[in-house]
Amino acid sequence: MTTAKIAGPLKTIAVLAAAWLLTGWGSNWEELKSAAASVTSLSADFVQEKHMQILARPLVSSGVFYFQSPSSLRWEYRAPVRNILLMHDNRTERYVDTGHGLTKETGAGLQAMQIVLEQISQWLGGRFDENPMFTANLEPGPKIVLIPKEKSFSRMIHHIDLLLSERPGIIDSVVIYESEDSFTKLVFKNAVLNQSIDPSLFRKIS
Amino acid sequence: MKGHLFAMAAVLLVLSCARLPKILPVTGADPSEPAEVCGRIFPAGEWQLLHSIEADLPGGRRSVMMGLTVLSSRLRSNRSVIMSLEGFVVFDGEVSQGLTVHRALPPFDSPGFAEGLMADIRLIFFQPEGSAECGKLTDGSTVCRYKKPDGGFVDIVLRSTGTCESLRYDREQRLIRTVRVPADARTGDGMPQTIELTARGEQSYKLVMTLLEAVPLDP
Repeated sequence: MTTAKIAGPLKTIAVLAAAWLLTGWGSNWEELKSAAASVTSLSADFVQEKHMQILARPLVSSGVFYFQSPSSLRWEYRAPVRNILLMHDNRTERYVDTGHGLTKETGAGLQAMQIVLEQISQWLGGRFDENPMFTANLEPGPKIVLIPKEKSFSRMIHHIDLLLSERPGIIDSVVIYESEDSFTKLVFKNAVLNQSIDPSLFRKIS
Repeated sequence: MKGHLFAMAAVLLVLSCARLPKILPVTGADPSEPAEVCGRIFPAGEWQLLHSIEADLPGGRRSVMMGLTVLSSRLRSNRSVIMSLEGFVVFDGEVSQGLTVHRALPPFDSPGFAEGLMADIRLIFFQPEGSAECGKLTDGSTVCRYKKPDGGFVDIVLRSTGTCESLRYDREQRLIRTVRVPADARTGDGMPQTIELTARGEQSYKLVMTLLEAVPLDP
């Protein structure tokens, strides 16, 4: 799988989190568009649980992410394997700690990230229901369900649930379903909205 | 500089031509003892193992993934999952009575990939089946040799340094896989902390697996 394909869902999650952290969940797409338009930056810690039927206990990862409008993202896992995905100025790079410090991954497919960057601009514009990759449904709960439009993409992600907190503006969790019995749950905390973020965070690993 | 080149060429020549070594019998020794010792290097019982996998691939590509293996030494079964570092499953397969692929995304859906992966995993985690011919190598290492149904061989080699190796030879007795667990690279419960797998042949690659989590599943 390419880095681009991996990073796509991460970016989607970051922007969706930004939208709801800022505004509370809206009752229609127009309210969401309006809310998303005012997101300029976001940072938050996250804890990720990987659930599979075969696991005796979930696999837990944790880290932090930074997002700066219009399209800069730093998605950093700090445990169990430190790795950093940087997206900035139409470039995407990944660095992985292999026990000898952080080294740049040389896998193919980074160019494909351009497609994802185009997509992010759509999310930032609040056009959640116009995303070319997902069909978005606003459901009671409150919950938003994202379903891949393309069959090839749906082989990787079956659907994504965004579960919103009762507290307006706070996202409770994001659950990415790969299949009926395999899903990844992300919980965000310590979110900081629209604060200045050092631009070097999106260009350099340290 | 020339000396270094000659040395490298010599090493490459030796590696590329590595052949099944001769076993020297140990007179007076209990013939079942070495096989028992060789078997101890493999995990016993049921385990859930999570590794980071650093892969050096053909063409100079390098990639890091995560590997999840749930295994039973008693049933000789394993379920193995390859994930991106973000946790997206790109391959999910199982060997029980036979091989079942539950999920395989490109490029992990290529012909032969699942069979090759499972063969590597079983070389790493399972004691070969059948009886072993045991003895010593010329360097004094203890060796247990298992003949495979395909005509190949697997040697379990316990070096005097404490390093353990599983060496797989094809039917022409050419070395095609080396699994190496360095000395002192085991956790308190005997699980290898670091495993290196080197594949030789047309599709050569190297994997360095670092144990992140070992969960015993026995009741």
